[in-house]
Amino acid sequence: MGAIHSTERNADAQARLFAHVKGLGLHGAPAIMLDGDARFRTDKEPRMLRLSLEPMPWTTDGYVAADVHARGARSLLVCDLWWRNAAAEGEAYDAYGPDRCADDLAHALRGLALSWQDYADPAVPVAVAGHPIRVLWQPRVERLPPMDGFERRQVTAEIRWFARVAA
Amino acid sequence: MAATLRGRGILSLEVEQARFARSMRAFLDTRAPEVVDLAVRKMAFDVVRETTLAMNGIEVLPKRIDTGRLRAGWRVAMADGGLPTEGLPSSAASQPGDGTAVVGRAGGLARIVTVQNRVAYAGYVEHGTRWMRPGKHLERALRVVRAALPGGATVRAPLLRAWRSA
Repeated sequence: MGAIHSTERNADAQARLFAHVKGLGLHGAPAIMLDGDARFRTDKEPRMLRLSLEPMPWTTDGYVAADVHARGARSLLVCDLWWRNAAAEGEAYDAYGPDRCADDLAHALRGLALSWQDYADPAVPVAVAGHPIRVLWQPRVERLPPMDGFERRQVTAEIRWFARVAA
Repeated sequence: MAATLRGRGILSLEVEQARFARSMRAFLDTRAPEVVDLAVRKMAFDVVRETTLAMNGIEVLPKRIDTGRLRAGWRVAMADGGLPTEGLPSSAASQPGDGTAVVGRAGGLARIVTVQNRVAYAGYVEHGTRWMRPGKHLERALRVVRAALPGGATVRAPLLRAWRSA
């Protein structure tokens, strides 16, 4: 099987978004994690943000050059915020914290245009010009019922980019 | 509506707005209620179908099938509302009341279809827990079906004008 272009890799989009969200400086400084991070199941982190990317069908499909096929790729970015409610344990608790953090994140994602990075070598990502990751629709903030002593918010955004496919 | 060839092979499309609006009004007054009803039922079916397909696991989407009861809850709901169920998966684990659906009116031609999956753990599968990531099968299905809706601004604007004056 021939090598596929970085923009065809959902994993590269996820890695880029993960790096971006980590650098945002969100309110409460939640621990940013990917799905499968073991810390998520322990009680050690008081605030956690889990990112996952769910692929959706291609939107457009066509040639941009004789040997280059372009496809409109999109995915659902789900940011799952868990914020320990310390009030239940008689400790000081920032009651507006979860909402502020979720708002920070939704604001940062609104109208996002993020340069693409090739993570073939994860230690040294290489910029790929002309393939920005974009958020065209308004991100959605959802308040979910508390669970396991944590307040929950979910920020969902539709991510789009053009994937380059060898013809 | 008329298509005209002008100048150096440039094709232009002239829309006779008044005539188009008259035709649309006639359509809206007669066949539209039936067509709208059919369209919203079809959309409800498409969303449910896309949701059940996604639950089977597509690409990296998490597969969330054990007994199949939750997935089949969508079929139970569609049947409850008299909506189409062809091709939707069923399960021996299904129980009465696993799903409900209502087709209602919302003023004028507007229709609202409410389809509910009432299986107790549906929320955990859709929104996730600390032990599993959100499935987001329904949210994804809504976006997929919305993106596939035909008719851009070209059709929508004159149609809305005709609808308002109908």
